[in-house]
Amino acid sequence: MAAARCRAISTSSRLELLSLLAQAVDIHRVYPRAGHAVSALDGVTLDIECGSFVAVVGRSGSGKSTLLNLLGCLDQPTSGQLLLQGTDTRTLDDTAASRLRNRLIGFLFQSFNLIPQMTVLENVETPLLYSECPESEWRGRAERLLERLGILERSSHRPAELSGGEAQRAALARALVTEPELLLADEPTGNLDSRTGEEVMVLLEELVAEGRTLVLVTHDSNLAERAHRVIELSDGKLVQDRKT
Amino acid sequence: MKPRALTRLAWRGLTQHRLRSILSGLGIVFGVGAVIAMLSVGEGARREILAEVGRLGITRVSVRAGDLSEETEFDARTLQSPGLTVADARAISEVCPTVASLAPVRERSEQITRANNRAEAAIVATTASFVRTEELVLRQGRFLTDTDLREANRVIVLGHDLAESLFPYEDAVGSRVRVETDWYAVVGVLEPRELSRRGSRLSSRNVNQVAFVPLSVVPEPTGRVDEIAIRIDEADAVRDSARLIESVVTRRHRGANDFELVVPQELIAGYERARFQFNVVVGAVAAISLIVGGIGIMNIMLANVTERIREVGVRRSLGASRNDIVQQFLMEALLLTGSGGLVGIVLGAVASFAVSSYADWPTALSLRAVIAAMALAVGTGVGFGLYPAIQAAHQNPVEALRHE
Repeated sequence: MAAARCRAISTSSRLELLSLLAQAVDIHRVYPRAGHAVSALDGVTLDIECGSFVAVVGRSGSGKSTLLNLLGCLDQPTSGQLLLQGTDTRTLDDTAASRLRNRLIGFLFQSFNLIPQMTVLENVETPLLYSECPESEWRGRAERLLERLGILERSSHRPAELSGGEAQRAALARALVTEPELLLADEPTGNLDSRTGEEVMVLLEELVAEGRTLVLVTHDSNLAERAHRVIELSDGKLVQDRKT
Repeated sequence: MKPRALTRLAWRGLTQHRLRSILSGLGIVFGVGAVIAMLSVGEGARREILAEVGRLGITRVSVRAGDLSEETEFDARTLQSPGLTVADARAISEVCPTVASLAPVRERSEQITRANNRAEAAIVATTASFVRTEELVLRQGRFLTDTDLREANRVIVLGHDLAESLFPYEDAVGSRVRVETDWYAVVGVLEPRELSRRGSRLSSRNVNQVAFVPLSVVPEPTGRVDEIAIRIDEADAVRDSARLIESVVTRRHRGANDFELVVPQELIAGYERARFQFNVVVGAVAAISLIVGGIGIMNIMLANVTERIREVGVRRSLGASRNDIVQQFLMEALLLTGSGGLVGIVLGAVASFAVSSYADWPTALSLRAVIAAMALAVGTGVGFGLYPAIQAAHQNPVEALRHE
């Protein structure tokens, strides 16, 4: 539903400003490290539109993950402005930022990050614990997603009992359960063999086709080429921003 | 976060390491158990003393001829104290307007015989007003009267058990019994009275085993008595009246300290003071055991947090606020101490039951003690669980996600 709203907005040129899901203006992220400061992001300015598929590439330490963490409200820029759906993230307190993250953003990690002692179903339900969604709907929502992603029969299994592809599907179900508009994926196929990696990529592309926004951090130039737009970072600076 | 989901989540966190959770909860279990056991022993003693006072009545005061030490006896002789006498009783009733009734008592242990049945009994020589002072209830017949006293009638009123043993098959009233060499007509039998299991200063006399005769049939040239039993008309007046009675008797005894004033109300006050000291000791033991238990809880919670930093990061990325993380870990500590507290209450109740059946101490588990113990346990959970919970919540989510 949120994605549909996003699509409707993006088709209207008059509401172009509103179609921006994220807007970064000269953002810096500096980490203090043992006496000196390390600049992980150095004056990055970019817009991410609703429904777009953006690949972020660059070498290790170029600032890709830092950018992803900032977009996901897990971190705050040291300076500059980052707007998510028009809201300046620096004005949000922890609770508001957490609620925004819960509602707007779904994360997908290279190592899946499923909670090992919980079943697949419970893992998928976890984001709903922090949402406004009534408890009676949790199971239905989670099971619908697991079914769609083809792992419903694994719902009572623990993450350790899943194959890599299944684990990433479970993680994807968890990322989608709050119906977020923005998916942030950090090397989601990095731990998968090429076939299951491809399956996950197809699923992600399906989601983009449905109107969700995907920011994909990757090393793999082949994957990056499948995006609508490729952003390259080097030493914390944006060195390339091209449409494919 | 929804309370039900939160509780489920916390429970899952605890059951992840069942043995570890159980062991860390044991400190609370034993702490609370000890508190409950000690409080119920204290409460049992309190109820017993209150029950005794209740039986005697809170308005009851007694002046007793003291067991004199050599020194006080010497003092009494030097001061020419007449000792506790009927005249003292008269003076008290004249001076003290709050005295509702009063009876001088002279007590001897003698043998009572009726046909082939004989019994060793306390013969209490007193006046007609003793029935009111001691609040005795008659089962049959009557108590002593003023006429009996005036005419020194040889009549006797038997306590319930005594009547049963002398007259196992027939009515006692109307029969005659022999006390040593004198014959007495039985005019009344008392209702049985429930007595405390152990003797105390308050109820030294088992009225079920006593025989009452008129004071005048046991002549005593000095007019000395063993006790003056007094009933005050109002509970509020007891303390002041006792002070007045004491001053009257002291003056009449010329300052000799040869009597003892027993005031149940003051015994209660004395008991309350002792109980306060007992409670301070119990409190100290409880505090120590709960602090030790709490440190155990904190230790385990810190280990939990360190072990689950990555989970914290994942939950943060899924939308958990710091507050949500605090709630989750705090709830774990609360569940741990709360269930430890419940088990401790059961353990303490069992222990106090064992004490009361093994050592024959009265124990009583009061709701207040249960609530207090539970509050202590939960308070320990909050007190010692808060720091680890806050520590978990303040993990940097980005670093927490990278944590191996």
